[in-house]
Amino acid sequence: MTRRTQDSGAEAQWQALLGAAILGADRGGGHDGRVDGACGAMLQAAKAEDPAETMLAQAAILSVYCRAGRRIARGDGHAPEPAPRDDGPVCSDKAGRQLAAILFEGFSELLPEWCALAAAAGLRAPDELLPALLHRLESHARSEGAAIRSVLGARGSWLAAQHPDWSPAGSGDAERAWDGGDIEDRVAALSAIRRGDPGRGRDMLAESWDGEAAGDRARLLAALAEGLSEADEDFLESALDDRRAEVRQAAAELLALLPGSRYAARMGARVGDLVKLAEKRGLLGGKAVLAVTLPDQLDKAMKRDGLSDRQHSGLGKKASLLMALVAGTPLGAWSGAQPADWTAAAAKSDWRDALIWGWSRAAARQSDVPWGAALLGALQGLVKSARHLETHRPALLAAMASADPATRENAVTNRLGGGDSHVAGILLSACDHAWSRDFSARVLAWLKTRFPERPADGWQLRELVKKDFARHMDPALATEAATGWRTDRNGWSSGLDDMVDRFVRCLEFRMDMRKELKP
Amino acid sequence: MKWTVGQILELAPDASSEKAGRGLAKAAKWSLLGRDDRAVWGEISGSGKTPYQTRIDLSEPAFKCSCPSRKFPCKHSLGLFLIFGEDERVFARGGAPEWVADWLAGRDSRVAKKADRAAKKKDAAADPKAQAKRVAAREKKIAAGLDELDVWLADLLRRGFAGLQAEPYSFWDGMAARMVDAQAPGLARLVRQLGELTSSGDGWEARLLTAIGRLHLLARGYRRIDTLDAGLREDLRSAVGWSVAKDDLADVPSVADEWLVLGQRVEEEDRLRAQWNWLWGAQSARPALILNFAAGNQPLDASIVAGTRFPGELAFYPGGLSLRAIVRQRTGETRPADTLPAVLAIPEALAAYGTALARAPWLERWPMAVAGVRPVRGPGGAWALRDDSGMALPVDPGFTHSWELLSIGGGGAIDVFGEWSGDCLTPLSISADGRFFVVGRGHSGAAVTRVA
Repeated sequence: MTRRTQDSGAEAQWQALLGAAILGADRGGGHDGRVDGACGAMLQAAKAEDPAETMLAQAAILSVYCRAGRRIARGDGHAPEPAPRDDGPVCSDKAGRQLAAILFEGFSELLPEWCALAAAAGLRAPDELLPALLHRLESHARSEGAAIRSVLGARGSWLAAQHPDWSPAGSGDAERAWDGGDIEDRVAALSAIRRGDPGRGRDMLAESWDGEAAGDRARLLAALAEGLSEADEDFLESALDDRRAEVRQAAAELLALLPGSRYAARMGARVGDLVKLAEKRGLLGGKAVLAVTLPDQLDKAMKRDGLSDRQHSGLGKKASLLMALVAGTPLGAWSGAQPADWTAAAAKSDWRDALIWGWSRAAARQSDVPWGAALLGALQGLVKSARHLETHRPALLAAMASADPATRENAVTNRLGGGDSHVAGILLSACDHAWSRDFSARVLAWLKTRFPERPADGWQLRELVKKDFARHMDPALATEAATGWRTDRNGWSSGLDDMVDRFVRCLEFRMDMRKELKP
Repeated sequence: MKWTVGQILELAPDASSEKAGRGLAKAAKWSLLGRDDRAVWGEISGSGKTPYQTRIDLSEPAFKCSCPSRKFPCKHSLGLFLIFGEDERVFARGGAPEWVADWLAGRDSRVAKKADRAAKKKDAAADPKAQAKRVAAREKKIAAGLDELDVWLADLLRRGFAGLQAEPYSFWDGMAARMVDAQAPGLARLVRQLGELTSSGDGWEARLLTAIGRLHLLARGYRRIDTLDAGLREDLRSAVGWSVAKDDLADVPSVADEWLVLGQRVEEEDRLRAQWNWLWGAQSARPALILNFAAGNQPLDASIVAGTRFPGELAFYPGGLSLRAIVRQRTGETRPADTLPAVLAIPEALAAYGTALARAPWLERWPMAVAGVRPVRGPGGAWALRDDSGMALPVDPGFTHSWELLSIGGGGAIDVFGEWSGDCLTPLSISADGRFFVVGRGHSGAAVTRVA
């Protein structure tokens, strides 16, 4: 980037000397160039019998001379356009220090919360922390992308544009990345464009579709999840004609989120044919029962709609097909009864697992709160203890994800009384929302009874407490969380000490964050 | 002096100790907390059966704890000190228990013995004849060492650099040990540095040749030392490893000023850690280097904090360059640093370096403050600081926070202070738009911290 210009010949002589030194005097290195002036005279005077000694002296003279007389040439790097002057207000110094603590001192799980508080207050991150934030955005785009972007400000977008790897935060660079980047860059670029102008994003993908590598199509299609709407239906429907199963599946997954689509109608019709809820009259009165008739194999239309006959672990072939069908159908198709009726009937059916698991997956994907609540109810009955947990765990977590906070908290509260902390712990880890004050207090009290009883899952619970619960619990309980632990028992250890300490520090930190980041 | 929480935390040997210490800084965890005028003590239960006993001698401070930790100060000492720093009243005043009194008595006797020995040494040293004999003996050893070094350096150039990267550590360390034997520790350090340079990445050959040239220059200069002027003599002696005792500085006049601490770096060497503190006088516009050392696990001086300014008196070591100094006393409050005094345009800054190099040709690092530069990134990813005329100072390739500099400036011009090696600049502090930043402060991994 810089060219050193020396006019006395000293620089050239230094380079020659360097070459000779690398080679070694024994191998006949050495070049006697002319050097002007005092330096040249000194070099002449320093000549010795032994070539190595001459080189030593020359090294001493030339290294100093060249360094002292070094002229910095005009470089040829280009200075970027300065950042926009117009930018949002930066957060306070204290809030900036909190962000630094989050990024560098091991509180990184609190980053989304800091960003949310700052964004709500209309503040942006300090300049000197932007590179670290952008670096994090690169590796945590899916989980923290939106949060980080909300506090970057104009300076952050400008900075990202200068860096070859950082996701384009503005659509200008997204266009460039779309044209010339690798698949990672292009997926990120497409998502970025969809955020600003969904129609344009879809058009860009449609244009390049035929030329896209088979292996890339599914990923690019998945990027259309950003800004998804009915306007995307036609393109997605056409993607169902693709030869590759994974592409059809990607399209189907998105179409399942569009209840007005033709896909939705087809799937609805299918499940309507195959799964029927009927009243069965018996001696003890009527009860609802499910009649399920499944085809022996997939027909062409089913395959087109993204269904495959891949077997799901824990289910037979037909059950797997049922589960896939159910998972891919918009939940509005299950008409004629309340979600709770359906799940109750399913619980008594031979096809129980396929149905419950399929619905749970659908509820999570479609963010359906009433179905989530109903499924939670059903699953609570199925998971009587930790023994049943592993079988139903994915469905349980999916149901929790789709349920609303109050339902989730109730589901957990029902479990706290029982002697089984494992299930309660798992359910708590799925409570990904800010816990209400009452719930927080209840969980805290429960934790104090669990420790130091040395529960079998002790260390897992400890990890959850430190990282997960501390993040969700109402931080106003910080003082209460510091005391009341039964340390007198034999089971108390430094590991628990560390857990409580970290837990309390996290809650206190979150309290401080709220104080600093007020609008 | 009154210790603040921030200063106490700086005593921690590493980040995990700091965290652990903070965790123990709660009075509720300690079963006993007491103090008298000289010491502070406490008892805290640990993983063993009996509680640990922790003591602090406030006069130094010095720490002793009965826990098995090898770290120093241990997390209990830190925690206890933190509690004291936040609120002394939590400690019950009273007579020191036996285990505290015994420890203090032991320290006192050791200090007395040390003073005794030092006095004896001084008496012995005061004896001019004996002293002259010792000095002559050392000079002889050094002379022999220099001859050996020169032969070894010539051999390096004879064989060529090709195989050097494959040489084991002992190849360089062996020669360094010979320099230590010759009572020339300054040369020993430079020899070890040669070994490190072979693995310093692209362009290592040029850096190695420069370092070899530097060593040879020192050797030749030292042989002719009697023909050189006083300033050069002092600098040469210091470079070879003669140390100037703090007592010898007693006659040096104080330089009073408002001193800005613009950068701090710690170098890990063998069993010694060296703390390089760059200060700059606000009025006198002169730089000063405060070098502090700590052996093994001992804590480094925590009194100088990068990004602060304090009024005080410095005493400069004798020598032509007049860069190294000690802090004689502070005469006022320490506040955050907020400005870079005496910033120069790139050509002037380089000229100043040239002048310094003329005075001390073996100079390794020079404090440089450049004004009005923009960080720019070249096609290969190499960074430079470019002024309006287009002159671009290369940034140390090992410096990993150039993006932070770019972000701070936002494409506009900033002022940067750092160490100039003759080839590249290692930034240590930045002034931009009235804001002030230091690089890499404290245990947190934060790259660049805003100070004002």
